[in-house]
Amino acid sequence: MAHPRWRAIEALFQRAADLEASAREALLDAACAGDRELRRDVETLLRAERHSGGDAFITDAIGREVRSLGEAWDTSATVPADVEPLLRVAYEERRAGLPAGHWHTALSASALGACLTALGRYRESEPLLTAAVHVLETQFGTRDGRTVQARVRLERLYAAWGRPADAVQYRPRPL
Amino acid sequence: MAERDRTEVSQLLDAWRGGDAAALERLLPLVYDELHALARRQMRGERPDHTLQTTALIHEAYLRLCGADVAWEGRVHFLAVAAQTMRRILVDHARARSRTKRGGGAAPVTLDDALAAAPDRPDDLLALDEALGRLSALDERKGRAVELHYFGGLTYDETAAALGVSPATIDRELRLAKAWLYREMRPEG
Repeated sequence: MAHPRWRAIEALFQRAADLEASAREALLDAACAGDRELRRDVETLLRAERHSGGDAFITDAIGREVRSLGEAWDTSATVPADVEPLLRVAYEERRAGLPAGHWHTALSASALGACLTALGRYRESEPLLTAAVHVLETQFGTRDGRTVQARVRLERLYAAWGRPADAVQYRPRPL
Repeated sequence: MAERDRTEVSQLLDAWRGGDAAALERLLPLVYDELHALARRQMRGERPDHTLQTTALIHEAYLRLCGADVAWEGRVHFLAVAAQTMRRILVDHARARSRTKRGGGAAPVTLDDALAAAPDRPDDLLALDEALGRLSALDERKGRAVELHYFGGLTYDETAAALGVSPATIDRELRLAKAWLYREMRPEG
């Protein structure tokens, strides 16, 4: 239950908020006679409402953080297109030198697949990412960050490729 | 989200609460769609390309909600927990960014750098979160209304239903809540 003082402020604010300036002054004069603190509280709130410009100060703060979170997430899900040769060398070396199904190879496949997605080479990206997801899920489970990252990359591949029904399968799984 | 799906979310939450483990399998895709709808509304007014960036928030919220040990009491309860979860995710992210800026990030070295860094303001969200915490201590329902409507993306009608009051009451209460928050976040000289 809110404090009675707060209730008094609220009631007066609601009554005064839509009044013309002169009517508002008259109301505050009558309602706050002898209570300067109440008047100051209500007046500062009325000024705050006028200066706030609506709710942009809230939606902007939230929107900026949502975008920042999205950008941080993008960074882990995408790989710049111009590093393809390096990623390909790393992937081929691991594939040749490590046992089949090794998670190091899967990580390289995941990164190379994301890079190929960025290049629009979806057919080449798909088998790499599919294999990476399979290996990483088997070894580390669905909650592991490496698995989540690979699944996100595969979801994004299908979304970019115009295959939303396939993308749905790679949304995060229940824990 | 269609009305049919909304009803289904409530029914599945009830079934899951009643011990029907299979309900969870059918519920999770709907939960994901529900979160998408919330995040879209949360970013109302943004350019269409920004809606893509809500995906990260949806993923995070989905993972946390699916792992939460909550006795769901229906769709409205789910929406309220989702709003709270989204707020926590964004605050956690803002805190991490703020730490990086103050501790590990390089200081801007030119005016251009400083201007470029200007939109990167995690403190705005942290200031909002702190002010909202104080508002909730003063008037819990107004604090929850702000959380549901702005962090959760609920409409006035949904916010009203979640809090058991009329939409007109929510309209009035949010009006005062916004003024109070603005005054707290930007005190007069």
